[in-house]
Amino acid sequence: MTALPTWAWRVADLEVRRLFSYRVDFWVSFVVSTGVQLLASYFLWLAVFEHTGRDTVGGYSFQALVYYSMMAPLFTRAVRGKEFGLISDEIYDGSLSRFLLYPIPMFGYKLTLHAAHVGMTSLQLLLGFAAYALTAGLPAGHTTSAGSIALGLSALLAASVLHFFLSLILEMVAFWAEGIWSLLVMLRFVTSFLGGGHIPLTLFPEQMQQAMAWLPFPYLVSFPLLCFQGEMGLADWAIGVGAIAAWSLIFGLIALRVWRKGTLQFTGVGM
Amino acid sequence: MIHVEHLSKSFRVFQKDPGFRGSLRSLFKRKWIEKHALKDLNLHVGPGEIVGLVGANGAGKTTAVKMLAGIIHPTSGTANVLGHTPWQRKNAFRREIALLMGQKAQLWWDLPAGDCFELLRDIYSLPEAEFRKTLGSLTAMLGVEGQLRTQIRRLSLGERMKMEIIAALLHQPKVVFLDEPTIGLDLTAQRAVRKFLLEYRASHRPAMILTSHYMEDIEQLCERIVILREGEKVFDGPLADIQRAHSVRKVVIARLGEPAAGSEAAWERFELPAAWASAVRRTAEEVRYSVDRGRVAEAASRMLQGMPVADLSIEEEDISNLIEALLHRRPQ
Ligand SMILES: Nc1ncnc2c1ncn2[C@@H]1O[C@H](COP(=O)(O)OP(=O)(O)OP(=O)(O)O)[C@@H](O)[C@H]1O
Ligand SMILES: [Mg+2]
Repeated sequence: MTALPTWAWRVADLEVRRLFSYRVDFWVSFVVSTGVQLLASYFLWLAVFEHTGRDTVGGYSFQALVYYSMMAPLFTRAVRGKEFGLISDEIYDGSLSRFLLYPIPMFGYKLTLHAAHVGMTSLQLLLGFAAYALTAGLPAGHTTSAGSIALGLSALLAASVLHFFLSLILEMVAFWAEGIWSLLVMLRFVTSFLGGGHIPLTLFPEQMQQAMAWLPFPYLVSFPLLCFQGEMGLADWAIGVGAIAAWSLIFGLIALRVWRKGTLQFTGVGM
Repeated sequence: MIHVEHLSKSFRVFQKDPGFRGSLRSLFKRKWIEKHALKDLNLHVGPGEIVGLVGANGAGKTTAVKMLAGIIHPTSGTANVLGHTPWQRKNAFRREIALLMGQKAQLWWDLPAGDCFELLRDIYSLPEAEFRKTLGSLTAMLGVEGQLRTQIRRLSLGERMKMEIIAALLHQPKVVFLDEPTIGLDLTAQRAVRKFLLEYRASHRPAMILTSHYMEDIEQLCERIVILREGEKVFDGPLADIQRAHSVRKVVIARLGEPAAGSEAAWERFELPAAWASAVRRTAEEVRYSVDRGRVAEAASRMLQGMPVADLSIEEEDISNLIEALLHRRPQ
C-alpha cells in the first residue's frame, strides 16, 4: 500500500482521541444497547421456542439465535461507523466550504473519519464477542477461529466502505433538500432489516432471499458475520468481498457525480 | 493577481408565505424568484494591494468573495486568480489562497486551536521548522500563545477570530480574502489585527480583498476601495478620490469660551443660512456646521462675530459620511 497522506493519519488520530476522551456516551451506549439487545432477544427467542416446542428454528438452535441476535447489532453498529452527520449538516450550515477551500479531498477526509469510527466500533464488537464467549460460551457447532475472525473483520472493513458511500449519497441530497433525516432513518432501517441485523437472513422466505442476493444489503451485516462465525470458506469470502468491491465502485461513482452536481450549485447558505 | 470580468451571480430563492398554511401551500407550488446578488463586476487587484470592498448589508460583498475563493460558481462572467479559475478548485490554486469569514468559523469546532494548526500543517504539507517559526511569530503578534490548548468553541469571539486569522495565513497565501475580519472585536484587538495584516502585507506582498463595515479598517488598510450598491459596482478608486470627487462640504467647528454673564444664549440664537450650511452639533461648548466649500470663509467670520469663540477649526468632511452617502444614493 502506498503511504497515506500525513493529514489522514492526523485526522484519524484526532478522531480516535476525541472518541476516547470526550465521548463517554460512545461507551455507555455500547454497553447499554448491547445489554438491552441481549436481554430482549433472549426472552423473545425463549418465548418462541417454548411456544412452538421445537428444538431449532430455521436450523438455528436457541443458543445460536441468541448469539446471533447479540452479534448482528454489533456488526451493524460497526459497519455504520460514523453514520449520521457525515456531510449533511455541513452542507446545511455552510461549513462544507472548508472542504472546498483546503487542498484536501472531501471523500478522503470523510472516509478517514469513518475508518476511525469503524476501528473503534470493531474494537467494541470484539469486546462484546469476548465477553459473550467467556461467560456464555459459543453455541454448539460454531467454528469461530482466529482465521475466521480475520476473514470476518476484513469483510466488515470492506462492507463499511460500501456503507460509507451509501450514506454519503443520501446525505448529499442535502444539497437540494432540507431535512433529509427521514432518508437516513430509512437507510438505517433497510440496512439492519435487509442486511440481517435483526434476524438471520436464512429465516426469510426463500424467494425473498433470492431477490436480496441481487442487492447490496446482505453484504453489509450478514456476510461479514457469517465469515466471522466460520461459515464461509476462503472462496466464499473472496467472492463476497469482490461483490462488495463492485458495489462500492458503483456507489462510489454515483457519489462522485452527486458531489460534482451538488457543489456546482452549492450556495454556501449560512455563511 | 486577481482579474475579474463581468462576474455575476443570481440566487434562486423560493418565497414561502408565513405560517402553517404557507408551508402547506409551498409543498405543492413554489414561487421562485431570481435574486441578483452581484451584477457584472469587473475588478483587478495586483500584488501588495489591499482593496476594500464596501457596501450596505446585502450588497453582494460576501457573494463576490465566495466566488473568488472558489466556493460557489458564478451565473456568468470569468475570474482569474493566480492563473486559475477559482471554482475549478485546483489544489495548486487552493494552496495559494486563504479565505477568512468573520461570520463563520472555519476551524474545527471541538478541537483545540493548536490541533487545528497541526492539522493544517499536514493539509498544506508545510515543513516543520518553517511551520513552527510562522506559528510562533503569528501567535506572539496576536497575543494568543496562552490559548492554544483551548477548544475553539470555548474561545471568546475575539480570540477565535485571531485563531482564524492565524489559520488563514499559516501557509503564507499569495491571495487573501477577508470577509469582515474584525467583526465583533474590541478596539485593541481590531488594532492588533490591522497592524498584523499590514505586517503580513509588507512581508509577503499578497493581493488582498477585504470587506468591513468599520471605516477604520478601510481607512487604515486600504488605499483603494470598491463600493457595491445592490450588486453593482458604483465606485472603484483610491480612497482620496472619494474626498476629491464627492466632498462638496467642509466642517467648521467653533469651540466656545466661558460665556460672559447674560450672553449664555448667544450660541442658541446663532444661525447660518440653511441654503448653504447645516448645523451638525450645537452645545454650550461647541458649535459645528457643515458648510458648502465656497462659503467656508463667510461661515467662519459670521461665527466669530456671533458667538464668544475661543478656538475655530475647519476640517474635511468625515470619509465615512461620504461613503455612506455613496452606498445609499439611489441610482438615477
Ligand atoms: N446562499 C444564498 N441563497 C440565496 N440568496 C443569497 C444567498 N447568499 C446571499 N444571498 C442574497 O444575495 C444578496 C447579497 O448577499 P451577500 O451575503 O453577498 O451580502 P453582503 O454584501 O455580504 O452583506 P453583509 O454586509 O450583510 O454581509 C443578499 O440579498 C442575500 O439575501
Ligand atoms: Mg457579508
